[in-house]
Amino acid sequence: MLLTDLILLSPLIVIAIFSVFTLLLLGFFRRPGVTLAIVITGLLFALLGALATSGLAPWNIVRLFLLDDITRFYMVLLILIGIVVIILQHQQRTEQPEELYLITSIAVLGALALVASNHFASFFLSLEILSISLYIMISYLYKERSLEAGFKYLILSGSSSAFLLFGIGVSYLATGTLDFSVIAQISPEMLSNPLWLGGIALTLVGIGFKLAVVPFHMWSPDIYEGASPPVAAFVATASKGAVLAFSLRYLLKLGLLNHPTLKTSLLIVAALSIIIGNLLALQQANIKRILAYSSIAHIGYLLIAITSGTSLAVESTTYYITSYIITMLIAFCVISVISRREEEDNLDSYRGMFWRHPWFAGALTISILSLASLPVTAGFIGKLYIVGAAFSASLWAPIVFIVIGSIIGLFYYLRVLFSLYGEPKEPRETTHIPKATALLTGLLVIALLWLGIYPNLFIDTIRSISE
Amino acid sequence: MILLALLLIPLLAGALSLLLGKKGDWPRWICLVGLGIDLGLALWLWLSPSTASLEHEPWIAEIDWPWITPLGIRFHLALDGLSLLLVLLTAFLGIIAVLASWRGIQERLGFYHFNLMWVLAGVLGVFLSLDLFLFLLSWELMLIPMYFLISIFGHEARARAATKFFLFTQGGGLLLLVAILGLYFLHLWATGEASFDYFALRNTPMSPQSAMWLMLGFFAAFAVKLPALPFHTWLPDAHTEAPTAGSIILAGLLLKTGAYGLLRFTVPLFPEAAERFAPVALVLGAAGVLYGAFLAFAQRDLKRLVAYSSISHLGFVLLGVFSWNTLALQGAVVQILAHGLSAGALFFLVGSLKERTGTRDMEQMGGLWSALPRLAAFTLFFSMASMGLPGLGNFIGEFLVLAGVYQVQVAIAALTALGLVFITLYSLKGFQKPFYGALSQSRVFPDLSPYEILALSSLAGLTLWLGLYPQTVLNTAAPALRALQSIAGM
Repeated sequence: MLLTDLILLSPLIVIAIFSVFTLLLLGFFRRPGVTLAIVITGLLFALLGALATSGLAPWNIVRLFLLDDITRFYMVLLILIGIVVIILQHQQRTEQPEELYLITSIAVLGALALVASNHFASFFLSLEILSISLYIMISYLYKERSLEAGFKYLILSGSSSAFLLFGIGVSYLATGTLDFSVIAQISPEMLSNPLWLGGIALTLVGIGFKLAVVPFHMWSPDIYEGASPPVAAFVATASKGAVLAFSLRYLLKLGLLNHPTLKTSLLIVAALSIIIGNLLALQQANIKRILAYSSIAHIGYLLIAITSGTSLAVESTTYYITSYIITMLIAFCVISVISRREEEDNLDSYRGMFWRHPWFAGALTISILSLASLPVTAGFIGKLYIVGAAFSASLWAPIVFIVIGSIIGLFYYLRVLFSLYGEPKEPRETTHIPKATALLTGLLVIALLWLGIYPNLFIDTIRSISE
Repeated sequence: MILLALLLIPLLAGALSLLLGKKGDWPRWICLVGLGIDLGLALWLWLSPSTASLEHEPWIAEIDWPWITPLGIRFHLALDGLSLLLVLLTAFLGIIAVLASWRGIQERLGFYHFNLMWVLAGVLGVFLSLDLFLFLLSWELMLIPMYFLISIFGHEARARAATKFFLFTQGGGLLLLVAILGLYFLHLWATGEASFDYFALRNTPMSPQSAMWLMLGFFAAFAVKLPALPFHTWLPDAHTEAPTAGSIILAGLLLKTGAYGLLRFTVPLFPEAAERFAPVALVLGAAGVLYGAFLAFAQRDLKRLVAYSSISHLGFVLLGVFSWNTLALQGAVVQILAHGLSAGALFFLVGSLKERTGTRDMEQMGGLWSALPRLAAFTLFFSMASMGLPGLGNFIGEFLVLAGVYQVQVAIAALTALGLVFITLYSLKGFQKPFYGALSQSRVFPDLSPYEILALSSLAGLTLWLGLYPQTVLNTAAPALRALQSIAGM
């Protein structure tokens, strides 16, 4: 038993061991390259561990974790994000970057534990590992903006954790257990218990903060703007992806969607996120802020798919999250090259980029097209999936919101595209592009197009694991 | 395989143009050769003996490959007489568009021709797809390149016009997406089979109410593109700001994808709902004819005049489709082709005029006949065609449509016939203002160059052919139209 537990948990354990080792090593030996190599090796071993155990039956580990194929899928995704982000960080040439790599890998550890957690205790613990690492990562540049962003995240995330803890406490008061598997069994009768519902609602508020859905979205643009592009990429992809993957388990397993009021309020939050996120993005001139607001809207689309609660919910959510993650990583790869200084996040710095860096501008174009869900990118099939999931549950009003939101979204996506291909305001010098970033971007673009043009293998995989 | 080649050639030519964009005139020649091959292939299909001997089975060529099987998506292309005529029009107008930009476009050639070719590929995809997912993909594929053609290579107010164009059409596209998915799920629930295939979805059992909603989704998407009356406001702006080749493609082809969608999908997929909706559509069509003509008459900008005239002419297509009898359908097909040729030619001419005089404002032009006799003569010819002079293509189209509508709704036919008067008015105005009267500018302009004459005379020749002997075209379209009618059972 113990051996199986260890093997199944190997991704978490490996990262933990490598992190402790790096931490000790950094006391007397500091080289960015070496630290990078160690951290990446740790993540690669973790990846291997997750891949090697795929196909095994769902397995509970000391009630805290539940490892099944869908969990392992998200683990693989999160580890890959970690690798990409750390490589991007290395290209940024930050001063004293060693601890940044280390903390990023610890953040990945938190994210992995989060998607595997099957218990309120492990849920809260892993979420805090993730959040605390994020405070440090966001303020790591130690500039005014990033400190401000880090502090904002600290305060808001702290208060959301308070909501969460209180909600967990109330839920415990009502049910007497923290174990999701036990709660899942008694949830049909608990659904009429106002105390428990209140507790659950409070936990959902906490999750809503982490996902930055309306009305808990205020922090997100400042974080995106203040953090360095790789860290912003991590917040946009790994942090949100992990919380979404967790909420998928949380909402579906505990049968929360069977409660009409909860379901309706989730849909209202989704609709608000779609409309307000898209509307606020219209006003922005800073590309990172545009992406931040657009991500609010995209989480809204995803919430609709999750809330549909049909057999299509897991499949469509997983497809959409994957395509969204790849899309955002591409965008931030490009941003990390172009905006080396803070004032360069403005759309004006991207004017006429196609005529200076055709390939990179092409990559950003494909990413924007995917966000706008145009063919032949993954976003196109993703939107099909989201609307399909809504259809399968006959959620007519949300479909209307998806359509309206997508139309508003086009306004600012087109603005970004227009600047990429427009006439540059003043002649600008071409920026040096690191080879590693170029390679990463290329691979990500290929992945995005592959998902958009011939996703058979991928869809078969996520369909088999989501059953 | 020929169908796949038809699609792939423009895509590859476009990509190649982008890569070789910096090498002089290479992109132009690559595109010409690519479109030439496409036109050749389409002609070969047209002239092959099997096309002539079609009786009951309308499909001339077909490929049906599995694609995204988990979702029931297939790579299903097929070509019948209707598609064939439109493919021929696409390749031909594509060549004209490349010729039309020979002088006007001198910078960023590679990117320009890339967009041009990819729009054409999207248009071809629309005309050939029988899988609704593939259709939707092609439908949206043509938008982004068209957006770039307008927003980067267009005139002064191009950014706004391009955004407006994109929002309207993409809004329609999203409705189409929702409607297609709705049909997909109804079919899935009824039969347990996941499929986007035209033939499978055609027999989906559904309640009249859901049929009506889905039909409206399809109709809205195509009506925006056509454009039918309440959805037309994007068109004058987009046309006015687009570069000449962009306008040619927009008027000649993109609008036709809307007409094709109505013919191929809206009515055959939801025959009963379409029949119930027909009175509304007929009124919208007649209103489009009249309103477009009124507005065209009020314009000072020559290009806007032609743009509004498109709204008017395509009103006939809407009338033809929703009358759904043999005469009206044949008329709609001829009108689609004739308008493609005449509007393409008129935009070509307005573009040439603008290149020479530097203005599109009719008040600033006058007496140009003596300065530009050849250009003037061609403009006269195509104004007459647009006016519906017997012997030219548009006359056949409009006459057949009116005859068809008359069988269904006499009042609508009478009202629309009244529109012909206004069409004559604005056509004459659009010709008289720039070419007669006192000569406004004393500069000497170069008249049409040989390649412009070549392009325009081929357009003129085809318009004459359509007007004098439309039977060739009608014969080609007939099996396809018969099949559509028997599907719809109306």
